[in-house]
Amino acid sequence: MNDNMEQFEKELRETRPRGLSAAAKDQLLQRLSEPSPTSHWAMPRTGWWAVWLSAAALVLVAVWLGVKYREQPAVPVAPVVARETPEPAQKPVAQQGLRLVAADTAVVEQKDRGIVMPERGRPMRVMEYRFMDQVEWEHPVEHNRIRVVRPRNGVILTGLNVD
Amino acid sequence: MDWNRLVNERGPALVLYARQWLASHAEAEDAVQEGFVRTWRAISTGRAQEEAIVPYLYRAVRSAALDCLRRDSRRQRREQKDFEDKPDSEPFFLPQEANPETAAGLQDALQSLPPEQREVVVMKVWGEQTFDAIGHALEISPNTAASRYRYGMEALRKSLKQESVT
Repeated sequence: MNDNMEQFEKELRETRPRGLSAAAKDQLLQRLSEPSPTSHWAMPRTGWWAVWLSAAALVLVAVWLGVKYREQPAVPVAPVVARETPEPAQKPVAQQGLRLVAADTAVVEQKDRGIVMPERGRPMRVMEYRFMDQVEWEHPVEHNRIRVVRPRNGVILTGLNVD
Repeated sequence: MDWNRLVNERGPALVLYARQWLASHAEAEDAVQEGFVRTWRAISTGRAQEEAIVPYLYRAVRSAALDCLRRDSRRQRREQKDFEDKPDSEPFFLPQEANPETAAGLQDALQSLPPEQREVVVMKVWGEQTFDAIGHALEISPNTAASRYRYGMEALRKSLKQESVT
């Protein structure tokens, strides 16, 4: 831009435009002083790409975990279909500062309840067990011990090969 | 964000900018208010950055003014007619004590410019925006903005000269 143009621009600028009226300005400033509109879609400056990147990373981790677990050999474990009594509550004792020093489970009784024929799938043998869970806690400083012995019932269904 | 300062500094040029599309000062004020509120929302929700607030303001005011025009086509036609019949009914500029005719003459000269030149001239002269910022606000290249400005200023100068002769 040449000097001539700059000079002309300066002259024009001396004529000042009418601004907002006092009432309009007050009204506007009042609106602008309201709490900021927050939207759950509001994104940080990093933008949506960061969200997509995080989502892609999560998908990759999920796929990797899926592949890893599929590669592990399947261990046949008889399913526990019912527990009549819950397992011993350990947390409250641990919260007292005690440490677990021994834990044991023994089968004290077992009954064969026979074979069931589900509508679909293989026939299954129903075994009823009576366990005795035993846990022992020790105070780390005073070395006092607490032993908890609790009975527990369980039913295990085992698939039968009839081929 | 110091909105008070921004309203005081940018308000008059933005009202003048909105007047290009709107027939009355009150409507231009409404468009400017709406433009400020839209900009405030955009900044609060991360859709606009504070560093580029002024070009965003111009774009928001332009959009609000055009929305106002579209709102009622009948009203638009009626007001456009009024605008053409009485172009100086509501002055664009503050009266100048030394030369009261200057403001009226400048308003006439501005109104005689093609709209695309007029908006660039207003943004550059009274809005004090760079061609980059004008290009950003109007979604045109800085070269196009500079070219429109040059043609607009030449036309404006010619128009003002003619007016001073007659």
